[in-house]
Amino acid sequence: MLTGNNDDTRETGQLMGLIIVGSCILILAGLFALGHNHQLAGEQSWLSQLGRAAIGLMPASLRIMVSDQARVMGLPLAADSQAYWYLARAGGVVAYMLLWLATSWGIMMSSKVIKGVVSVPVAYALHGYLPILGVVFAALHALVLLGDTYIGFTPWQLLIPFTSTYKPFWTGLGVLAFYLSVALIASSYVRKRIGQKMWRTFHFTSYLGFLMALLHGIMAGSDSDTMVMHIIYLVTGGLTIFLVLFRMLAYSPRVQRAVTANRPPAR
Amino acid sequence: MTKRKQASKITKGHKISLATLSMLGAVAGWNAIGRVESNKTVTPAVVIATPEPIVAGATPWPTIPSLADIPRLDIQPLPTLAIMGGLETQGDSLTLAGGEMAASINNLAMPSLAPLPTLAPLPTMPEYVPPPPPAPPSVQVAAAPPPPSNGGGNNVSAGS
Repeated sequence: MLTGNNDDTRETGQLMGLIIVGSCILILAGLFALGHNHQLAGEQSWLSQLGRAAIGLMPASLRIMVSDQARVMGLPLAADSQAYWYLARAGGVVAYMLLWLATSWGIMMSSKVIKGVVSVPVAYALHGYLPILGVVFAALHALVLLGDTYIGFTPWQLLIPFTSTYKPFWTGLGVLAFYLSVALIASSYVRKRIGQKMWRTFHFTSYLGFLMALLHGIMAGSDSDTMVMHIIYLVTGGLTIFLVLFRMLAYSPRVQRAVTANRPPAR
Repeated sequence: MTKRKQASKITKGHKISLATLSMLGAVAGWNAIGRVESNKTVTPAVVIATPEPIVAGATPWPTIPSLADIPRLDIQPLPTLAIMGGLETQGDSLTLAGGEMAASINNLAMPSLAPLPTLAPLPTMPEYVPPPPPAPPSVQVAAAPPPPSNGGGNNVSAGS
């Protein structure tokens, strides 16, 4: 039993190490590619040349379709490309959706809504995985913004909250939400060290993190005035509020005590 | 095999599916945003072509002025051809409605344009009548000399 636990801990440690190293390599490679392509015109960009070569290998019918789609998406990646801006926006929306899923999943777990529907280990594993995926996409969202020349974010503006030239307060909220999400993920890995009570108290700030991400999306997002984003924000925000209220009212300790007291004694 | 390992095996598929779905979502969103943006750039041309709704009452419709209001143009009659006088009667004759006029076509004088309307003759100025010479200075007729007095001036003798 003890050996099994030690093996699990070692495996988790190795997995975490691999994820961290892999993420660092990906981020560095992405920065390198962006740095190079950011200075180059479309014809000189090696990424666009690579893309063109890949498209050239395709059959003729598929080549036309892929070229058309690439043009729509602002490719090839170059100094004057719109692709950075489009990808940053899409990445931001995906990151927000993943963060919402993680938050909602957590509330549903604690309010036992999914009890019996999903097994407990799977539910916990997904609750741990969803915010990591969300943070990866949030990092992508910020990283790709560096390539965009329209607003011209600097790395410091993206790292230090409220220093951006574009809507500093609302952009800063997004940066804070990112840091808070990273801290919440990290706290789960040091849960035993910091103690259950401390972890639980800190875990409540995940609501704040979601709220900050929502406000960041609504106020700083350039797609906030579209119908699709209105629906996304209304549905996600509304469902979160509903789940929180449900959790507070139906599964509060007082209600649970009352239910237990009224239960007929077992024979 | 522990419960955790079992869960890890189960969730591996879920995790890969979630990551793939997220990636596909990001790419689909990227494509959708690109399409929306490219439509936005095309839209203004369409907007220009579409007539805008007319707001009633803002501007009165332009009206055609009534004919009575149009100032009447002083239309001059077209100049007509006129047969000039001096026709000579020869073999060929030219018959005109309302009368017969023998005229040699060859000898027909070239019609000319009607004389241009001329201005009405100036009203005759009254003949200059020199003013009458000034009347000569009137000659004063000398008064008849008084009858000779009897030396006494005006004293009239009473007679004796």
